[in-house]
Amino acid sequence: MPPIDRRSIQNFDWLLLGLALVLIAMGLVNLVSATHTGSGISHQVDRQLVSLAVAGCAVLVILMIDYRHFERLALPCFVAAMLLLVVTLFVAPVTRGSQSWLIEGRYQPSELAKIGLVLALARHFDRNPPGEIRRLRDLGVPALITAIPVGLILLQRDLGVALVTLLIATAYLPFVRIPARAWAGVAAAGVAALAALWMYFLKPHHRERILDFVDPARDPLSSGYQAMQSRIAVGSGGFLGMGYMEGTQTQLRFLPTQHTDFVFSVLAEEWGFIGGALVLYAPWPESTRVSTQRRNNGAHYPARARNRQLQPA
Amino acid sequence: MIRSGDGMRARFGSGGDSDIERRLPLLAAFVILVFALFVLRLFYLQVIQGDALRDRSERNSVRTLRLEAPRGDILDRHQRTLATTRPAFGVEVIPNELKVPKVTFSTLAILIDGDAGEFARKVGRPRGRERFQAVRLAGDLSYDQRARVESHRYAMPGVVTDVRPRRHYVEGVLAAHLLGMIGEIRRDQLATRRFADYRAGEIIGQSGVEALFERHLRGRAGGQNVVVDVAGREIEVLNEVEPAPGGRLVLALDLDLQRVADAAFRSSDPKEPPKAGAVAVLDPRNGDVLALTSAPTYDPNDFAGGIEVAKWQRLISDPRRPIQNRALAGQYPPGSTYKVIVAAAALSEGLVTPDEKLFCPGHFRLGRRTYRCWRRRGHGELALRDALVRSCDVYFYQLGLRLGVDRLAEYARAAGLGRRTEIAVAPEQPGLVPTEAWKLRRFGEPWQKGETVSAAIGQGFNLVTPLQLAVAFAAIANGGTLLQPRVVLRALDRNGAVVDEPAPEVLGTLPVEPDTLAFIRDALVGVVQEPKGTGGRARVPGLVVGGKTGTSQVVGIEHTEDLEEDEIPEHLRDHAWFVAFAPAEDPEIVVAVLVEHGGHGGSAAAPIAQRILARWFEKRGPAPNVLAAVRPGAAAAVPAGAGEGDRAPD
Repeated sequence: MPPIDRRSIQNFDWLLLGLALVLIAMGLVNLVSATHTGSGISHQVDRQLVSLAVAGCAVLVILMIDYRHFERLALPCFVAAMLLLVVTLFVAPVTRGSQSWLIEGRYQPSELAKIGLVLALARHFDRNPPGEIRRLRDLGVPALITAIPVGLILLQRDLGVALVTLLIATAYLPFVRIPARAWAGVAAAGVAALAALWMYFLKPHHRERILDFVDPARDPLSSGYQAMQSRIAVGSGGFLGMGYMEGTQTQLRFLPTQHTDFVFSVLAEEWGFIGGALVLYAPWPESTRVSTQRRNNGAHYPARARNRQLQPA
Repeated sequence: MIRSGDGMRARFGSGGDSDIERRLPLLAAFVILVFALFVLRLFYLQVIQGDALRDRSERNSVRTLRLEAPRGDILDRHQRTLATTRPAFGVEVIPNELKVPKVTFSTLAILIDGDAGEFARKVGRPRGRERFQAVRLAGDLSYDQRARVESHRYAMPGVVTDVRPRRHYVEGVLAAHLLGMIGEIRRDQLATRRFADYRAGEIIGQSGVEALFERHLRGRAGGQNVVVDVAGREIEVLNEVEPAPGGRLVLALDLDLQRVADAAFRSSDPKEPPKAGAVAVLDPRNGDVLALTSAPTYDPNDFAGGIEVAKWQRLISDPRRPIQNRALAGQYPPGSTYKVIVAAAALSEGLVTPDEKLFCPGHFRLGRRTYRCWRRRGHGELALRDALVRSCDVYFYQLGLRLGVDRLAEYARAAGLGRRTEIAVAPEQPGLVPTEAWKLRRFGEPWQKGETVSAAIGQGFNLVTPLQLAVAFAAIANGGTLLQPRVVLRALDRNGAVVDEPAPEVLGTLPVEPDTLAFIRDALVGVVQEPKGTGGRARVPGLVVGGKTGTSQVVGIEHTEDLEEDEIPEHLRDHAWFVAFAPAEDPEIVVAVLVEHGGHGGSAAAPIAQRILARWFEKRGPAPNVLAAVRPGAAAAVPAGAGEGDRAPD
């Protein structure tokens, strides 16, 4: 068993833990309201608690391990996560158009994939510091490392998660020293690809969804319905909110999938601007703290990427 | 989460630290900026647009529900219910709540004897907001079915039941035309001022009494402000205004007489199609409509929940036209019933006296044409009274010629013929009273004398409706007053207080002396009570009945005279008329019967009138002086039948 690093306890980042715990607590409280049916605590909250317990144990174990050992575990972890994604493609049932859940909807393998990605990228950039990367082609390997999980998640047809995963990978981009000219070409290719995608590859209902995302008021009764209801929920929270468990959009079930996709709307409706802004403020302290920190090394990259993950999807 | 250790620094590479130190803040700033944008957006939605969105939220969750008022009851003159409102239990499904559609549909199909496939088809695959809108699967469950559904609701997520008021016609097809049809308000109706406060989807009376008294029967809807969830389920009632039920109507109709009249047209043989025709029963003292029948008829209950398209198509395309109210809109030549008008006119104009005898050899020559009497052998010499009793055509040909068509028309119009009674209960036809001017206008040709001859016996261009004849005979029966037929006796509000009690309305007076009318009434009594009278089949033991038979030709005599009656194809057979009043000395009831293609008035229509009069008499009991009025020997004789070789009488 790898030796426990005593310094890891001394140098523990309490701020990050504190912020995470606050967010988790708020999430739980909010979930109780979002799934309130008048007959006690709902099973979704129970499940959340179980997941938290499991995750808590995992966190403790990981903390005990000297992070230097992660380097050795990085590749095996990454490979294992990718295999799990492949298995998911074959085994998972189709729910609402995507195949992203295992064990009767309790576990999402893409979460593990994100961690695997972070580890793999960290390992790569540790050996190839971003400050020394000056050519576009040197990003080839990281791009490939990123492309595997993102691609597999796309095959699961879960566009949202794929995009977030991609976003995590981009945490390294500000640190490479590739001149702007080189990016121009990539940008142009990217725009062209998007245009082609829009015109030829996207099915009509995909286009609808994107347009609705831009302006949900455009078709409030069918395709824009969810976004519209969400907007109403958020807005009617006002400054102070409607009160815990008093949000009408939530309690009367006007908000679809309010315990998953639209859970932030529940928070915004019931806790108002105060509550919503508080949650949105959460990443700031850690961001500022990390950025003003001296003595940098590869270890903070995982932190940066984890910060990206705090954003509500 | 672990802060940096020294050992790691060596790996970093040249220029790393300062670069990182320079760039990291930028990255942090970027992250903070992104979240700041989120916070700004949040501010915009919650603080700046907050009120507007809060309104939208309320619009989602607070609904104003309309509480339908139950429609007022319609009763007959003895307060027996004809039309009322009853609860109808329905089943609806909310697609979003359907957890296991297949199982739910098949369970439901078993419980209410439905078809699971059809349920699935009705629900379909709704998207977006439609998923929260209820789909109605059944509208009128029996009590048992509803109980079954309610007790199994736990096993059928997504299924909800509701109760709605539904119009119920207690007596089914009885008086269907008089009561009328209800149906959804049409767009062209909504646009009128009369229906300004009505909404789309409301059920209103479209014909009959239901339409005429729509306002009174309708009541006033109430409302509730309720907090609803996304499925429209009521969570809480914020405030409520009770609906006010509609007012009730007491009709002049007598259900007992209506039953007899309706039954008369239904044959006991189920394979035989019901006869077509009409009956109008009036009270000559006040114009009360005691019964109004039109056959064939329809079941107004079919319309109560919204008629199925297939049924409606069948009704309107049925060649026997069940929707038409023949009592008001059926126009037929009056046949020999018209002779009563001719007699009254001729007497009043002094063109004939009660003693004047004329000779009937069985035919009458005018110019080059010969007009037959129904009795080939003729009636011999007879005076006016006998001419009426035996319905001699030749006698009246001559009276008609003496009068001329225009003078005859005057008296006919004075008796209400040729124009609508404006009873307003249904589309009504005015009938036709021909004049010389009319023919010139209509055909561009001058009137021929021969046409007067036809007119005198109620053939030719003459057209009347059964109601018109009833009104005319009622005037004769009551001594000369033409009364407006009265359908509604009283309108009551929902508490039972009388809101309106229309008085009998006088339309006019007959330009005939009371003595003349008495003479005619006496002759009409002879038609029924005397052996030679053509209306013997209308006799009611213990009651003195007066009346007149009529047979109106559908095709010219020459086509059918050689055939026996049952050899003539039905659609070519003559229409049968009979109009009666009783008791003769002080009439209280007038009955007009028409049987389409019934053949002889005396054999087809008179028995129907007899049944109605008998029922009426049974209810009322004999009046003290009736025995004295009966002519000795008359009631016991066998009714005279037509002789051989004779065509249909009158």
